Amino acid sequence: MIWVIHTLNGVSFGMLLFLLAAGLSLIYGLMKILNLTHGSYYLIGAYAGSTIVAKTGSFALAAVAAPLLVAGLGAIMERFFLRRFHLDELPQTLLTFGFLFIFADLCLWIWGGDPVLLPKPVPLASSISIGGSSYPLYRLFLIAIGLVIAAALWGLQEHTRIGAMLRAGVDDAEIARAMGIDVSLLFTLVFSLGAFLAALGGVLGGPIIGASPGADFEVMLLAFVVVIVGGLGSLRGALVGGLLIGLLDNFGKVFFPEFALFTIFVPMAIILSFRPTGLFGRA
Amino acid sequence: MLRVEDIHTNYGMSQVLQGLSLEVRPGEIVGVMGRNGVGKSTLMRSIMGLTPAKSGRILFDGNDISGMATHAIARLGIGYVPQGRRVFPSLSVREHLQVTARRGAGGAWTFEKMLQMFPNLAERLDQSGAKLSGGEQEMLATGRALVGNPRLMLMDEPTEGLAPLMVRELGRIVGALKQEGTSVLLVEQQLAFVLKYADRVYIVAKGRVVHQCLPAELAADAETKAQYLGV
Repeated sequence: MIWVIHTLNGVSFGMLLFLLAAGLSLIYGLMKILNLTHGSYYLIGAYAGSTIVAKTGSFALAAVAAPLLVAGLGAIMERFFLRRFHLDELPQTLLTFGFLFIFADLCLWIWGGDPVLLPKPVPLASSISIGGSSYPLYRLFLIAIGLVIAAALWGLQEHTRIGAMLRAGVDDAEIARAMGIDVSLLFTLVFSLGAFLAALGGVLGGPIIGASPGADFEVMLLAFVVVIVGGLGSLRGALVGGLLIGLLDNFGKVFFPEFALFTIFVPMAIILSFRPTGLFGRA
Repeated sequence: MLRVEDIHTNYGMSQVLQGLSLEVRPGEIVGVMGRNGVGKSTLMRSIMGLTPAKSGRILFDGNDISGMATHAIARLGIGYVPQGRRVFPSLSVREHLQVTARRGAGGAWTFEKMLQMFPNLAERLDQSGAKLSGGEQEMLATGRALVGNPRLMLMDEPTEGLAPLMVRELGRIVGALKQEGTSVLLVEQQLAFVLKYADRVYIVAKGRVVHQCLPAELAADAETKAQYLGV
């Protein structure tokens, strides 16, 4: 039974990683930006969510308002800063690196250095019994919501007009523009959507992982591993990669606690040596 | 309709267009010919704003479009069929013909009309654009530009690499464009195709127009053909 519990733990953590990696991957696929600020979106989402829960008592409101706030932040970063260096990778990466430190210090200033753990929403705070052992309902909720968001993103990408425009922009941005598609607007939308998802991951992960100084960096590192394993620019890769890394991380910590990072990076190196573009990446 | 006035455009380090001027009038099919590397594709890219001109003006219906964003230029009513087709591998044929559809002034080119015009594509609506043959891809690239209902089509070497049957098919489409009153700026290497469909011809060498004439005049002008086209 212990296997089921650990698997569920790994899958629910994997869903959080998916929320982070999906945005990171979409942003890279369309704009070729390696967004090092992505972990900061997670952290700000978690902190802002904790403040909203403290002030209003509503977890649901926090899960909507905090990501919207961070989406606005992402839009500002893209429109007023990153846009100036379109397709110029080094200045863009350095810029996002700078924002990482600015946001980290701002968080320290606003929310202090103590770790913050969000309270679980009341209806989900209980546990259910799985094969004799009790399991927190909230983690099952995380898995469900991750699947719902994955399905929604897939539907958006494959079955809507804006999704088709997005794919056209990823395939050949120049020709997409020449067909009258406002690719710059798509950039802003995708960047904000990515920030939104990362911040949502922050709020939803808040009751489990919580927020503390340095979490931005740790989370970003894991999200990058997911994206590299899954393949840059691929939504499916973000989901499969997220689950894989979530499980590896969990089982690694259980069975080889002293080699926790090893169990993530060794499989990553092996996958990359066979598939340099990741599991679902395009050459 | 389209006036290109003395444009200079750099591509990378080299100056490709050096004071090029030409004009397309409403309903006209204008051929642009010249050897490889004289700047014909760069001319198309400059008009679309993909490689903006460093100086000079590009007027579309009297408005200066040089310096405008590419998508805004397209929405004014200019359709672009790039060299090498460049269809989107992640989009199905259907999506190519729907995503960029816009009602233009006339709104004559609809998705349904495209299916009539390109029966080959109608049979492959759910296939990826990348899985089509070269000729079908050319049709798709043309259809993709047409559903935006442009008043001016820029076609960059559309017959390149096509089988004779497909070239004839393409001729039929250019004829249909003319019938609808859509203007075409046609960059082409195949002399016979230009002679058959163009109303006027510009010849480009070293980044500028060196000669302009009617197709019939060019057909009879062995010296110009030998000097600038190598035929």
